[in-house]
Amino acid sequence: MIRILLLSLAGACAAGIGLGQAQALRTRAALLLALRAVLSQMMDAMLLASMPLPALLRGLGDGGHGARRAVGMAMVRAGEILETSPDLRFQAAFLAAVGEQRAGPLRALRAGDLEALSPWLALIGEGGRDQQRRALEGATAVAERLEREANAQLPAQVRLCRTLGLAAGAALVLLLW
Amino acid sequence: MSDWRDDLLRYLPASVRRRAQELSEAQAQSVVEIRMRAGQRVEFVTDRSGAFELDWRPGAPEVQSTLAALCDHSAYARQEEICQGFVTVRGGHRVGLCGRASVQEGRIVGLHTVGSLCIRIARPILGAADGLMPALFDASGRPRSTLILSPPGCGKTTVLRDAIRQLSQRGQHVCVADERSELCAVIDGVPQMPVGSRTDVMDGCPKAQAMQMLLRAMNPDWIVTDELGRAADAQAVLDAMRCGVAVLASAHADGLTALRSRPELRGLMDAGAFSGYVLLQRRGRIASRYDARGEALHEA
Repeated sequence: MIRILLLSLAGACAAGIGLGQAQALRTRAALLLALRAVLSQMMDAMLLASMPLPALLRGLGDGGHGARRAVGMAMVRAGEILETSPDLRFQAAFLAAVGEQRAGPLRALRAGDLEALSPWLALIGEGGRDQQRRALEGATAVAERLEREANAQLPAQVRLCRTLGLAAGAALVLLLW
Repeated sequence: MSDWRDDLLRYLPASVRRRAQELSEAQAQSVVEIRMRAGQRVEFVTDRSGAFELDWRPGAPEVQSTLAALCDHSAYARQEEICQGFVTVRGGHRVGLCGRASVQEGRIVGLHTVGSLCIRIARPILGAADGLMPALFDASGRPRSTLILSPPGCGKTTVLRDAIRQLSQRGQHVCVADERSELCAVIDGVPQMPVGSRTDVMDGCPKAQAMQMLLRAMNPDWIVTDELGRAADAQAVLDAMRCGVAVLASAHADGLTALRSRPELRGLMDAGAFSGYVLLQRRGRIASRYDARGEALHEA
């Protein structure tokens, strides 16, 4: 009886890992979409309202839920880091904030996503309005591309992860029986 | 620790921060400027006509990072100020900038590769306007519009700022057209300088427009502004006075003769716009007072 229970548990774990991977892929796409929304909000606040960066970042934590809230809270945290260490740049503060939340909802973002955004994030908060427009447009375009790629790969990858997880679970049960 | 260090230290490079922390209270109180130039030693200028230097020489990137930090990484929101060659930072300290200007159609649209910063420490001096206050009211207690004159560096802004505070404390509704954020140093809507509880500030707006807006919207007893100079400023002062609002303002001039030589401001004198003129000498002390016609009332 115990053997059957242990085997079932092992199978369920393998299947769960597969399903978890599939969910992480969905979350990554949602986070990239949320990042685009936040960047667009930043562009409006910077260029239309000339809002200073710390106040702007504080405001990004309001509203939203799920991925949008997670990205907003990372921005709020980046603002806090910038205010305590003004000699840091926005990019460093944002990466530190994301790093702190990697154990949380932002863990679905890949290191490659942040690397691709890096050149544009480095320009945020530095220079005049034209530079900010270019930086935010550049970052938005990269986020959009990553999100499109993620969405395009999503169905196949989700299917693969789910199938592999379930197959691994079943195989484990059969092998250990 | 003195106030300027509380306001500024965290924005400055580590070497400057360390040296500033080592200053005694008396030394810190005597610092009036911090000058950073790319490739040169950082200089602390004191009010005793002296200076002491750091061994450390910042490069251009350090100067630019310091500026970015002083601007809260929001240079885009301070572009108009930067194009005028300065930014006012938390605490009301004014940072003068030198760099390479981008000019389009004769207008400065940006200042790049900033290589020099001159951080002027702002210190409100309570009581700086004690000598001026009696000149602002007539015998029956009615406000008298007054123009404060002095060459640069004699304390016009300090005197004006304290006059705002004292007028406000006397129950007057004071509206300030603070084009360069020097008088009240408003950050996030809150004046960083002690300007009284009955003071409203129109911040960062061209003086002439600000005065018209304040006149229409805020029902002031006094409108206060710094450094009149343009014809539009003079016109706005005349408009305010015609509406029965007293104006307290300042202008760069070392006397009434110099004021008359400025065509934009001569009209104000000819129109008898101000009930009195006050000439300041070093450290905000009153050198002379004049009536509306420019006749001397008192020699210090």
